[in-house]
Amino acid sequence: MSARAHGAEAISHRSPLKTVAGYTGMVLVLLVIAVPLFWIVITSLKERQDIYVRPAQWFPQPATTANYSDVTTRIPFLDYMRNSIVITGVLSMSKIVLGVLSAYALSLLRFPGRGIVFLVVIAALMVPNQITVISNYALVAQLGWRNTFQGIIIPLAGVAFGTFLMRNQFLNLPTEIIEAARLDGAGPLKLLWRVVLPMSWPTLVAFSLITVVNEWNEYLWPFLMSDDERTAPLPVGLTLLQNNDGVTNWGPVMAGTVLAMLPVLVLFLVLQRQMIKGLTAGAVKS
Amino acid sequence: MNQLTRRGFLGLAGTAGAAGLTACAGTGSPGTGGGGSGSSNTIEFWSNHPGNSKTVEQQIITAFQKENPDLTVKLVDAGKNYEEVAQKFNAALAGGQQPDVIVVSDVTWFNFALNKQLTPLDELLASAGVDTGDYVDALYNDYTFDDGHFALPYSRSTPLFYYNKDLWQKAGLEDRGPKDWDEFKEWSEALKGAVGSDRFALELADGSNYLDWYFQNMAWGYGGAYSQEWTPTFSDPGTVKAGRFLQDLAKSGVVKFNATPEADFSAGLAACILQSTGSLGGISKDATFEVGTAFLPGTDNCPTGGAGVAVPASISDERKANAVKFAEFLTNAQNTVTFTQATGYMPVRKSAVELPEEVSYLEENPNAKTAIDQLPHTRSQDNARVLLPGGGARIGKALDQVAQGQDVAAVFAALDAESQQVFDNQIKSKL
Amino acid sequence: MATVYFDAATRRYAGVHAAPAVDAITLDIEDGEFLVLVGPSGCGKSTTLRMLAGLEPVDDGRILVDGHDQAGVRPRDRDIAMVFQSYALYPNMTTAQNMAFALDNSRTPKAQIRERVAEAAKILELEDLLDRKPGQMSGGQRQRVAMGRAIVRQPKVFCMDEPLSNLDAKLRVSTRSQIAGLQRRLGITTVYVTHDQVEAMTMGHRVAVLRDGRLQQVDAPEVLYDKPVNTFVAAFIGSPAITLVESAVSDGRADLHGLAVPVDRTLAAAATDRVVVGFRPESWRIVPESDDGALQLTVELVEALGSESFVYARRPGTDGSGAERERVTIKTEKRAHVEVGDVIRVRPVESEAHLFDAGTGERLVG
Repeated sequence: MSARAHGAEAISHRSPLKTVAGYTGMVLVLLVIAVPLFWIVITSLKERQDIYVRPAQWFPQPATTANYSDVTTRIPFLDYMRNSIVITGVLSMSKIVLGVLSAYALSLLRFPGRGIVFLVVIAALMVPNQITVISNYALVAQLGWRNTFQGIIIPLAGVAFGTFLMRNQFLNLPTEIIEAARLDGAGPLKLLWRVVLPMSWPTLVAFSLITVVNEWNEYLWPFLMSDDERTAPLPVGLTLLQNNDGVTNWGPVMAGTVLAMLPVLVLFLVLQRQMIKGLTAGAVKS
Repeated sequence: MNQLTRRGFLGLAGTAGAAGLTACAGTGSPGTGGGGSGSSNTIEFWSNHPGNSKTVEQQIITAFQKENPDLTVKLVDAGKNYEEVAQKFNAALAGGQQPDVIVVSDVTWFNFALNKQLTPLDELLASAGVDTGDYVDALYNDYTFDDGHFALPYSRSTPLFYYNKDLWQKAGLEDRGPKDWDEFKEWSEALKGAVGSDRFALELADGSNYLDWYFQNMAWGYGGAYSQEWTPTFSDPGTVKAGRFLQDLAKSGVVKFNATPEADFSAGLAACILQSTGSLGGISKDATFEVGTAFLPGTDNCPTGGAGVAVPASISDERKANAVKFAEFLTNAQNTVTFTQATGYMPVRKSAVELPEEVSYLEENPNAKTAIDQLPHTRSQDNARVLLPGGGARIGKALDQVAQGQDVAAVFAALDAESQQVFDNQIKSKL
Repeated sequence: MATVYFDAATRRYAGVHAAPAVDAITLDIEDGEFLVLVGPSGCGKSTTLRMLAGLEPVDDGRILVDGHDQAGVRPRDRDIAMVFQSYALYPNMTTAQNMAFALDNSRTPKAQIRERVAEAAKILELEDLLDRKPGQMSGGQRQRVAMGRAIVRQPKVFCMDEPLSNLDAKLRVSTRSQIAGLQRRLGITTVYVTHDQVEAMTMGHRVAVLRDGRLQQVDAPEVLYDKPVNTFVAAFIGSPAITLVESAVSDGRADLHGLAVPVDRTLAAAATDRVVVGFRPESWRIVPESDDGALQLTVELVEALGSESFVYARRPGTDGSGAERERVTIKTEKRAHVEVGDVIRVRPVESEAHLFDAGTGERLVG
């Protein structure tokens, strides 16, 4: 009886209920993502003794920027930031360029041994990073490249993931458009730049974003390679704020985290607009 | 990036090291490749700057270079904790360009020593004319293996019993730590009342954050141990009794396990904690109440801990001599005082406590004195924790299970079997 | 402007079929000619076109454009423009950019590009759409942009691969004549692929019929209709299809379901003992009930198209082997009132008979 009444109500009010459920879901997801971020930000603005109190302080009272000046004075924060930008910038650029070019060759250009090359690339993707770390270390150390930018960047510039991702994207493009461009006299580079890439824009932006975020957060290899603030990026540098064996003052750590997040956040906001701009609609009949 | 992953890195380092050594990708012999390179008058010091000590380390280095103008010391940020330093050293062992002096912790040094990757220091120290007798015996002898010493004590710590004096007063307790754990049990009801609901009489680090270190004290207190020499003794009645005691404390809501008990304690959320001496400075700074320190409950059953400095085995003799020179300087009476006053670690030299600046420091900081007074009552840790590969993590995990209410005897029996197996497989043949 | 010559051009796909997809096609296309390649799906007509454009290799034989062998010449160097079934417009470019792309690539001066794009836009009535992107256009508009992209290039040859098959029926008819008219006006050699025989018959100067990768016949549409070289072409061309009946020949007469059809003796002699007799729908006449000698059929289906009707009828019973007898298609005047189930009597116009060898299917020629 009650089940039936409930069912009837569910049917008659279906769409409002669904709407409410949808919004509840969205709010929940938003909270799950936003609350830790919010906590990081307010913690970075708290005074030391206010960080661990019960009940928790949801707004710093009083707010202080001391943690931020602490970050920039206690560790050479700007050096780490510069290193991060150099490493992430160069690495992302080379990963994107190599990924796009190799994927292009492996998907749309014909040359002997193409299948084998692709298999090798995929095999490289299967080897876990932790295994190659040691042999890479040996190689780089013998070249005398420890604690140098090239020592950090070059071994990481391998692009199996990008090759794989972009190749699949290129193979999913309508072949007729590629053929049309060939007939229209587009050379390989023009075909890539004017036809293939504009149609692959959303995938490329997503790939770039993933790459930048990954490189920005890359820890293991830069940690092994770098010795000090001349080459160490932010994730390595920020650990100096944590106490190894004792009480960590989390305020500066959070302030450093916030500062480290900012550049990527800005990039994300800029690129996200680009992601929406990409379109393939109308290329061929649907 | 957080403390929970500390252990993960060690495992990773081991795996990667093994894989790298077996499949060394045609990069030449790792040993000679590393040892040969590197300038002989530059000393590379790989440190994780324990206790945020980068500045003071640099200060000691400057002093060293002043005394030895022909030598340069390069201070390298080698990781955020001991495990990361070990990992970076592991990579260097496989790949070359080894450091000269490296920070090794109570749990990381042995595996390197066992695999002959660290150099025994005795002869080098003798030829440098160092009086090793001045090192605190318990601390120096922690690094003994195969009749040799493989490190000099550097950032050494012991656990301390920290308590909130205000709450102690509120609970009507004497201003001292408990004599033993049974006495603590008696106090716990009063403490629970004093600290208030939703807060805890005692907080302990969880299994991922070195509970296995602190629990040794409890196990010893009830007549048990993790091991006798290489024989695991988790199933010993004393050890099991200690496990049951811990479980009872958890069940009755006396203790809470936590990644950062020192933070809760400073905020007044726990009446007392067991924590490293290295946390003393931070806790004193953060706490808004009067902090008391005491010996760990029980008699002569406080484990030592922390880290020392070691020298790789495969660098040239000339570099070794320079390395020892620096390692000794770093840990001499004057510098151990400088270092420990800045960080809260314990002076590693007997003569250090007689230096005037240390005398006055200890007068001003009675809490720091507790640690030093406790030093003669320390006991070297059990092999099953510090010398068996993965020992600390293994015991920590088991203690987490105990805290969650699993059967103590069964968990410890499994631990016995596992430890024995690790010993048989990885250690036995190399002894 | 150019001539195109397929010289036994062959294309084999590795391992897919034993028979080549395009089997030794020899075809001479004149300068300025509009040639339609037609055939059922899978007959190799698109492959033939793509071979000409350089998108498929030629495994055997040659393709000559203006007398030059195209082997090893890259698609972009062939000066051939193609209109694809899907239009294959560049989605990121506007109409103007789509049309200018090829000229841009060939480093044509900017002013000239503008001029030619404007001209093409005018011809195709695309002037208002020059700044739109393909996603903002209808199917017909996109089709015209695809055409425009081909004509601005002023290439040697147009290749069109079923360019109308994605348009609705009405638009298809009007665009059909537009394309034919445009081709005549520009005078550019055009190879046009379709599976639609109405397009083939109405658009091309000549039509080439393909079947299983083999060329069957190349002729002007009316020749194809009137003198199909074999039963396949006869059946493929013409809608509704021709009625073909296999029959024994005796005494100069073929037996068409009991109706004796006189066969030219010389033709009959060229055949083996059996022939296939074919009459197109318009070669039948409905005769009065009283004509006893006529063929008696039961009507199964009537298609009334307004101006005319097609009647599909069958002679009851089975033939010698037990199968149903062939259905006969008859074109009638609009006035003839025939309904399903009626029994009618018909006679063919004997002079319009098509005769084929029953063994080979080849047309019997005197």
